[in-house]
Amino acid sequence: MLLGYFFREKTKINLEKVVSAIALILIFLIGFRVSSNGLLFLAGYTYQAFIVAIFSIILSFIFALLFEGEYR
Amino acid sequence: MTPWYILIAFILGVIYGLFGTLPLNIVENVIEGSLLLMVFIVGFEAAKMLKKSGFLTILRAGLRLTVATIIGSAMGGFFAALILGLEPRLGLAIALGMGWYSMAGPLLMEAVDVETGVLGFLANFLREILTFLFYPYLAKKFSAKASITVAGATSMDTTLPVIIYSGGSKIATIALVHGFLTTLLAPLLIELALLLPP
Repeated sequence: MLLGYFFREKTKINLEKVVSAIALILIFLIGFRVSSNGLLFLAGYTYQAFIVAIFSIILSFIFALLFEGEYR
Repeated sequence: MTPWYILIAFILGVIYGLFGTLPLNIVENVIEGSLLLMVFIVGFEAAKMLKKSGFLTILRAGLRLTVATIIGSAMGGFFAALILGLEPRLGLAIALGMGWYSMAGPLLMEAVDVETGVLGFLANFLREILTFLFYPYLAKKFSAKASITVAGATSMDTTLPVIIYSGGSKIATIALVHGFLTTLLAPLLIELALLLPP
């Protein structure tokens, strides 16, 4: 990140596009890692885990909207 | 940008993982290398942002989101525990892993029992998966910045690509600060939650 800061003036490449392309490849590879590790099939606790995860996500998001003043 | 691309890339990855083969150690190395490259490029944007907004503004935004993530996760864990009939302190501890499943699972397994460890692992793992599915929509419909909280501690590594892809590289710096702070606090908060009476 620091290197990026120092080299910022020396490039004319469209960085937004480069980052998006890397991001897309990474998302594919992470999806691959998820299923090839067999992590999707940890049966038994999925329902409980899903409830904890979804509640945490929703409430974190609501608080963030409130703190950022973006809640309408 | 279109969130469909993200979903398609992720689902294609999952399908390829089920049927195709790639050496996992190479995939891990490529993921790590690409993340480093991405953080390097994000540095360009960070430089612009720091020039424009200043370090304190970014830090303040990251801190606000971190507080929202912690409070939201804790409350989410508490309410989920009430619904599921778990001990509230365990619900809190599981949710306060904030997406860092490789830490939360083993830590809870060691401190409590195997069942809680597996639940801690899976709940936080699902948080990462749900971020891949929901972040693009939340960012588009509501706010790309506030949606960073959905990712929890993973906003500085595994879910950073999806944040950059849908939210733009401008918010990547805030995502990195948020991810760093939540990663730093998650183990401590889990230990604190476990100190609560059953």
